[in-house]
Amino acid sequence: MKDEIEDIVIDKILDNDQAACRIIIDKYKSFVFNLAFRIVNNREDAEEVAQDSFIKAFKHLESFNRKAKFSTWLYRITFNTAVSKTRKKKVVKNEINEVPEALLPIASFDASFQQLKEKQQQQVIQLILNKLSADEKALVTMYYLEEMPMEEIAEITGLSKSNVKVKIHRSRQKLYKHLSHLLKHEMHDIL
Amino acid sequence: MKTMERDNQQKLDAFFRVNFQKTLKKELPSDEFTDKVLHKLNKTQLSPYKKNQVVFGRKIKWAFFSFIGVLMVFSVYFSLAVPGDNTYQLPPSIVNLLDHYAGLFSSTNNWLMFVSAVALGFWSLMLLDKVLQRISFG
Repeated sequence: MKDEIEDIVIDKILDNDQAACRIIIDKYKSFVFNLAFRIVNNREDAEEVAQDSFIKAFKHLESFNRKAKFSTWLYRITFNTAVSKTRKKKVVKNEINEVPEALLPIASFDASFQQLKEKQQQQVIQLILNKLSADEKALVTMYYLEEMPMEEIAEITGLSKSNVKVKIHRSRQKLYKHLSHLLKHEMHDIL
Repeated sequence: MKTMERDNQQKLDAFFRVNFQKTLKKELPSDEFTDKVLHKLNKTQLSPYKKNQVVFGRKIKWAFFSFIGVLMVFSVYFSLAVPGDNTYQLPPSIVNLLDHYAGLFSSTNNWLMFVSAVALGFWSLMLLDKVLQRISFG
């Protein structure tokens, strides 16, 4: 649904109203920062990416197509800014050995996972997330954490819906494989 | 087989959804985040306030471009025509007028050339700024 109040705020920004800028920043800073954080993986870079994203958005506000949702447009800028930031840094591949091994049944690792303390669960989820590439991390964060529909994720990332589906499927399998591996072999390191 | 696979996918989706939401806390930006963005906006040329300021009105822009256009036509004409010559079959009144303005381009009266050079230089800078703005968009 089109947000008419937001449209008015955007018009005010175009009329050089600083208070309107503040309203938009306060409304979206949390999501923009979170998305950036999940991709770049540290607070300092995430803050820089989030700030740059807002600045780019304000600078190019005239080119914003009012038919689309402002939030989707802003998240797309954030996604592109964060991904290009990670590309500038050296990518450290952290793959586990591709030795085929039997994956734990879902019910079994679910039970093992629930036995862990909250802090350990956080560590495990963070560890398996860190095994994904920057854009895969962004995709699963939007899909699982923010519960965004595939269509919106496709708009934000600039991928087709079927491509998003395939990438999420691959990421899901990777997460499953890493979690299974972790719960089978490396729990003593975490515990 | 397909049903089993879909069933597994759904279970995995449910597992990851629940546990991501349970364990991944929402990260919040610093308290000064908004002020920092506004400060950056005001400090840099990226400020929407600066961007949206009308430097030249549309009418002035048209007058400016017309002026440059006329100058270019005059320059081409005077580089080819010989004063007083009616090779170009123009009405005498226009030839007289052009002859009059030809004086502006003489070596002792080159202020018009100077103004047009400055204007063209300024216009090139504006164009360069537009190009840079497009390139810098992520």
